[in-house]
Amino acid sequence: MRGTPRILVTTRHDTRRGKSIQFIGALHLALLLEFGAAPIPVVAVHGMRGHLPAMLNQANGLLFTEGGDIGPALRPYSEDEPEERQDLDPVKDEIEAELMQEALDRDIPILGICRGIELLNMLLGGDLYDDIPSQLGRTVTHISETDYHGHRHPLQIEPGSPLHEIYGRDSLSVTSYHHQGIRSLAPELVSMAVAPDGVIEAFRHPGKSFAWGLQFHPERQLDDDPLHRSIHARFVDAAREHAEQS
Amino acid sequence: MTAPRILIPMRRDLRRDLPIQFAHQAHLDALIQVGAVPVPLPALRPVAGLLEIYLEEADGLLLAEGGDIQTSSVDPSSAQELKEVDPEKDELELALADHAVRNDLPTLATCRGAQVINVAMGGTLHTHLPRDLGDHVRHVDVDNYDGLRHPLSIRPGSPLHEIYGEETISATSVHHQGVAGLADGLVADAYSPDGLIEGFHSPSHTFLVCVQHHPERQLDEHPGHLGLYKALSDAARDRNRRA
Repeated sequence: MRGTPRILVTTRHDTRRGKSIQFIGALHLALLLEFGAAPIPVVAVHGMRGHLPAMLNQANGLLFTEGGDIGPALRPYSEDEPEERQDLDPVKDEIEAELMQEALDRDIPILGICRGIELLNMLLGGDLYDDIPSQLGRTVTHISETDYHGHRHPLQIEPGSPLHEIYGRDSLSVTSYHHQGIRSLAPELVSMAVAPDGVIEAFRHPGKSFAWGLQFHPERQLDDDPLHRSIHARFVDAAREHAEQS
Repeated sequence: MTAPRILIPMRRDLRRDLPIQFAHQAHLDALIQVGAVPVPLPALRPVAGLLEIYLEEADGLLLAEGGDIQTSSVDPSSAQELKEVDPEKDELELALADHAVRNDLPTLATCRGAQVINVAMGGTLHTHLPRDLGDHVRHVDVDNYDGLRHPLSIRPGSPLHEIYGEETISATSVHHQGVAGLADGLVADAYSPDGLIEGFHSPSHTFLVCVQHHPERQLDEHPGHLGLYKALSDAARDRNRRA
């Protein structure tokens, strides 16, 4: 048990049969468990903020996953913003920003997926598209309302990047469910993969033990290629190292 | 001083065809309101093997609603009446209940959670109340799921009586299973008018209180409902201090 990495995962709000729930995609949890980590949910509810320092003290990794758009408290509205942001959750924004900043400061491993990559880029000073189709164009479909889970688009993997090591090839077909996206990469980050329209969809922070962002959902395409398991596996390895050192 | 941490096992569902683990926010808000930190526990099989890790940091346990429990005390001929059976959650919660009982971990159990405690300690359940007890008291109303209330008589001198300060309250009811035989070591504290045991506790534990109703869904109806969470949080805080 000693050495089992503890990984904080923030929850997300929804309504189920008329009642508020906080949930986490179980595919993430199953992968963390498969690789021997203990996922510890952090509830994104009002009043949790004061309890975050105690939770961070036992964390060996933080996983940030999908969710609604990032709200104006973290990222002010721009004048040319084409449409209203969706599914805002100011409490989740605040909690995740604090957790992520602390994890960066203390060099606790971070994996940011989907909304998680956007938050990581933004906190480090990068910029986001609010709506890719209207601001960049429709060369690449980044979200398909008619084929939500089945839609894939190609991704060019940077040679020599850890992502290239994992997949062992130059291109990948990935899931895509987002309308925000990375517009400019934060200065400290290094791209690991790019969509055909130039949108960066994977990066890492070379100055940290492990801080990766992925726009796609490896956990939702395990049937496409078993190598998609390797992302969570690498993250858990980094968290395990953190656990053994602390 | 660190706030007491309360584990609350999650529940599974599908959302946009993908599996999720969730907890009802009303429990989380109530725990935070009384000064505790809710820590949801994914109800996935490998978690049972990591319980030592989760329990190391836990000061209390909240077992709440969920699907029907599949136990050996359930008559196999009525197995088709079971709804939303989740063997992974059953397994995890029975293990947690067992740990809580053996280690005197402060525990509040509501709805299905009360049934889990009873089963873990050797009690039995009614599989389907309308058949087993008749329709004298309605225990679930599919057309008025949240609005249904029935009276609950509380035994004077019981922990529930101390928390509510009443001998009768009006309780939510959303269940079709229920306690049949109360386990040895548990004492009945509250009854619905048809004689069903809907509240009980263990006198040999610091805080092991079980109710069939949903205090979190009727917080604005009586201060005792939040009082249950407060009592759990206080017991967990005392344990945290002693440790």
